[in-house]
Amino acid sequence: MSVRKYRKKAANILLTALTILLVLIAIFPLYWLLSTSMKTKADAFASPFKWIFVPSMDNYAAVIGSGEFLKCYGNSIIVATVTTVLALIFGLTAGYALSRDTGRFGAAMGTGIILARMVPPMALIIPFFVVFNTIGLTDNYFTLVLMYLTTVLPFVVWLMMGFFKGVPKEIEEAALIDGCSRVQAFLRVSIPVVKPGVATSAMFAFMMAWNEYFYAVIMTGNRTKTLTIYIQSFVNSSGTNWGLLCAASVLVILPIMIFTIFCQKSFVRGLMGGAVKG
Amino acid sequence: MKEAKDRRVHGRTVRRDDVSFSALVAPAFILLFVLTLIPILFSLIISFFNFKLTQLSSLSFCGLDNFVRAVGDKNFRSAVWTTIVQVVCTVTGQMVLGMAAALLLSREGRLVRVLRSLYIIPMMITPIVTGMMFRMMFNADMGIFNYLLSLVGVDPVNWLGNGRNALITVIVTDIWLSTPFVTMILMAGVQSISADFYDAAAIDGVSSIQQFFYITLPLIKPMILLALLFRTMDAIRRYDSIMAMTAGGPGTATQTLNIYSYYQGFSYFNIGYSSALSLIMLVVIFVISMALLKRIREDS
Repeated sequence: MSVRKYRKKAANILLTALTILLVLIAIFPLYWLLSTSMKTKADAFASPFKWIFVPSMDNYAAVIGSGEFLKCYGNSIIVATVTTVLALIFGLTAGYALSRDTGRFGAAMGTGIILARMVPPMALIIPFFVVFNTIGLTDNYFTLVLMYLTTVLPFVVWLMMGFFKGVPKEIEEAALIDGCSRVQAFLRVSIPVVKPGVATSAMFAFMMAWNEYFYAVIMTGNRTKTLTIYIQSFVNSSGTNWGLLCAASVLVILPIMIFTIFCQKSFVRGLMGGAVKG
Repeated sequence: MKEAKDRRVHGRTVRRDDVSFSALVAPAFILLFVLTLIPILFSLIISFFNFKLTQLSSLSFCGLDNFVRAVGDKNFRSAVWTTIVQVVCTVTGQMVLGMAAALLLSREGRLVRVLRSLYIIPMMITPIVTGMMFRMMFNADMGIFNYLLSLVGVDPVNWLGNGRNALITVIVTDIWLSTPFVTMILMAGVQSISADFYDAAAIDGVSSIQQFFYITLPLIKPMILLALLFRTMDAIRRYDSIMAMTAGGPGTATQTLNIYSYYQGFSYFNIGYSSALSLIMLVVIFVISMALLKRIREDS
């Protein structure tokens, strides 16, 4: 018995060590990004590599100091926020209805929405480009938002459908008996119950819009340039300014890292629920 | 008044509910209909035309010529092959590693809980940033990976300048970026399995490896399929990090179908041909996704 116990303990320690190694490998690139962002040019590519160095905030000061960065940060915030709000307004109502028995017509519309999640942006960009270019609506916030909705909205509907499925029908029916209308039951009973789901959807909608690059490459110009486009400006024919690039990158991914830690659990629940019906 | 509401609950006015439910779905549906289906139809029409943005005067109907052209196009075939290699390798790598990580991270304990939160972080990192980051680390002269290899006596590897290496590099990058997503989904499955199953198996003398294949895998099958659905869909249309790292090069070594289609449209302005290529990709994604989605619903 004691031999067995001993072996079990040894196995446990081994597994924990393996887990730590795995996490270290997963985190290493981010550590490297962060440390390069705080190195001076001489330190960044010194040979042999400098594991210990005096952190410097010069790169951050230079990035934030350039008006361009703040303008692009602002653009990204505008586009991501508006996309999130619209995706929530349309996505909450549709997700709710699709989690209930919608009849054949509603179910067909639901399948249509889920199919839209599968469309590769490449299949949409040419018509968008031809049309918006003709009517002079490129380099426009609203155009970007519309295009982002094609990816974000189906995803929010999918997530919300999963969350609303977790709301028991009975509590809504109780509200209906007490004299609420369907809309009141939705607003006052169901939405408060799925608050964590709404928060999760909002965060993911925001992140998807924040990270978007493909549509932005083609549809943004000087006025609406987003952060993902700005990041590229550090790479040019005369070489890459890695220090500035890393500092800007850290500032871009900071909000996302914080979000991810907070909403992993409820995210999976929504994903699973959304896959089962619709 | 009261009676009417009661009746609504007990099903007589179900039809009225159908109408209001449909009305709630309609706005999202109409928006997406306008923003996706109409452009796709437009794309389909364009793909039947010889449509070059730089020579609008030569615009002419050409039937299925663009699709026929793809079959004979050497670059198209190479792009299809690159896409297959890229998708199969990244998705397989992500599923295997993701499963291993899910098992390791599902264990109890405070330390594991902390590690779990840390491990998930890369999941949503901006893909364009990820591409840049790995481009820096894989740099042949001053990248950290070659430095670490030199410590164990390996000569510098030309990661991004050599075709085969570049493809490997691009695959590794996406494995890093999206394995946590797979792990997160699989972990939810692993954690929801009741310990009773394993206790009973242990009493019957079933080994841990058998437990994995006969208990864990079958019970989390819906999660595995869901992860597979999302990863395959996104790997086929992957764009950002490849563009940041190699832009499809060197040569056409990392030029997937998505990127080839992009170049046809926005570098050579062959709008008609590019549309045809995009539609081929769309159909492939649809077929694979629908098959997986059907399996998920059958299982649940």
